[in-house]
Amino acid sequence: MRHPTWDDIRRFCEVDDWTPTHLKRGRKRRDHDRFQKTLADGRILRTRASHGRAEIGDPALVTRILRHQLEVTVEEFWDAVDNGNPPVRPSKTATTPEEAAPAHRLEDWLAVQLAITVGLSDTEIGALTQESGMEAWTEWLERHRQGEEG
Amino acid sequence: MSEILAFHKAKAGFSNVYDTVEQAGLRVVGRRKSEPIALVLRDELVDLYAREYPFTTHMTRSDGQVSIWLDNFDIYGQGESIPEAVEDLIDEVEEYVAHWEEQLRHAPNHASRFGWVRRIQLAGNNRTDIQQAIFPPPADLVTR
Repeated sequence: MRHPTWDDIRRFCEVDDWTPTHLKRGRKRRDHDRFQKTLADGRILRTRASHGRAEIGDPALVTRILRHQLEVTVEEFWDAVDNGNPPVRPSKTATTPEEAAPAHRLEDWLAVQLAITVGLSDTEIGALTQESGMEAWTEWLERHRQGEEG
Repeated sequence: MSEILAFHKAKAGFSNVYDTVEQAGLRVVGRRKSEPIALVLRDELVDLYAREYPFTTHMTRSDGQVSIWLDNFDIYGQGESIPEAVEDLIDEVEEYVAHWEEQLRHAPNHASRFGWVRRIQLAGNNRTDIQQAIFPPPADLVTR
């Protein structure tokens, strides 16, 4: 599949008449452009585009953005970007997420705990199986409990 | 069974209302021409919503970027490491909930997400609690 850039997302939003929006919380992160579109049936679509011009890269993320945020097929997306033709909704075909390399072989909660609570690097987490990851997590819990009791 | 406490009485004796909720777990307050409200222990709601509205994520890696897609809000976080992607996702979750409270709750494709929104609202501004809500360890492996 051809890989879109963040500029392509911005171009699509322009062609499909999306409205630029601002952060609701006024938080620190302003490194994205944000857009939303209200459809005729009242549904509201929303998306964001990084200020960088690089390709989005992750094929699974791209297909989820197209399918769930923009609600278009791949063909409709590129027809809008390349030819300026906005899509006709509802879209005819759902876009199936492409395969992407999983970030690890663990359940997501375990990878997050090992990364943030235990402090393992992504490389170390990538080398773990679910079983060895659980061992690392339970060993950390045990040390943590002993530390609290001591 | 607890009676509906009139608003003016609740307002005048809110300390007593608070004590009642701590002891009995619930107090209902009513005001003329308004829906009654229920004051309950937060942790009861946290547990209830956690059972009924689990979050689902998909974490992938490509070109040195970690991406985490959150099915329940159709949003994602990205970063050069898992912690960075989690931080970005939590920012997006807070932004989504703020947008939901302001506008999205009226939209047909967002209104039914209230259960997951409640879970984030119940966490207040505590990012650790939001992280725990989205990526919960099994109940028998909780650190606290």
